[in-house]
Amino acid sequence: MEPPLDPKCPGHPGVTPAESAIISEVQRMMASPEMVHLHEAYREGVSRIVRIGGRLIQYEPGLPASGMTLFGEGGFVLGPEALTSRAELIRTCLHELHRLTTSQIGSGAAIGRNLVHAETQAAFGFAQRAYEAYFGEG
Amino acid sequence: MQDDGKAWVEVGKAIAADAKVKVMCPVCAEATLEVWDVPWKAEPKRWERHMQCPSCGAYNSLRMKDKPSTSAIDTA
Repeated sequence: MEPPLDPKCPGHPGVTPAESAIISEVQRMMASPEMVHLHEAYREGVSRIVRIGGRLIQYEPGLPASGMTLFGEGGFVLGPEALTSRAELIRTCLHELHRLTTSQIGSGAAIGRNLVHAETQAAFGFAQRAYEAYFGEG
Repeated sequence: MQDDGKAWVEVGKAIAADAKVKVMCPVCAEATLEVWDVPWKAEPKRWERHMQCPSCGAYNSLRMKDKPSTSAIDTA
């Protein structure tokens, strides 16, 4: 279900305040010089760790996935797949931040099948929806 | 990065490549991580791979695609 319009988020209508904060953080990430460093690491095939606004992000060339949460660090890992396109990079950052900031499982809640499925759908759905609304080029 | 974080990165690399690989929890080292996949309903070739320790509850997840994994465990 789509979240209702929230008048408290005029900068990002159509999302919750928590989601608006994620979108703002990804917008800052994409404009940061550290993101250039991660692209350099991708081209060179080497691992690199940066902090953007205090958030740890690691590029790991040996990770066969787009992204991976690091709950203990409050950060995430990017794999080569994430850097194959601007769209996939943005969606991965949105996805990982959604996980890190909203997951009940990551906060220690008992894992149940329904909760796991709901969080997976929410993370993918938010990343796609936010990308199309606030980062897409068309 | 803390030692647990570095260990998790290595765990993630192994489990992203093969969901059936047996990996000890990088936090407590007392149990083998449980791994399972949940596809995104809107695009089933995309899924999350969840990893949790049944002993201490340590948890992380991977954003995955149809390649290169060969051993998905679908609990949908």
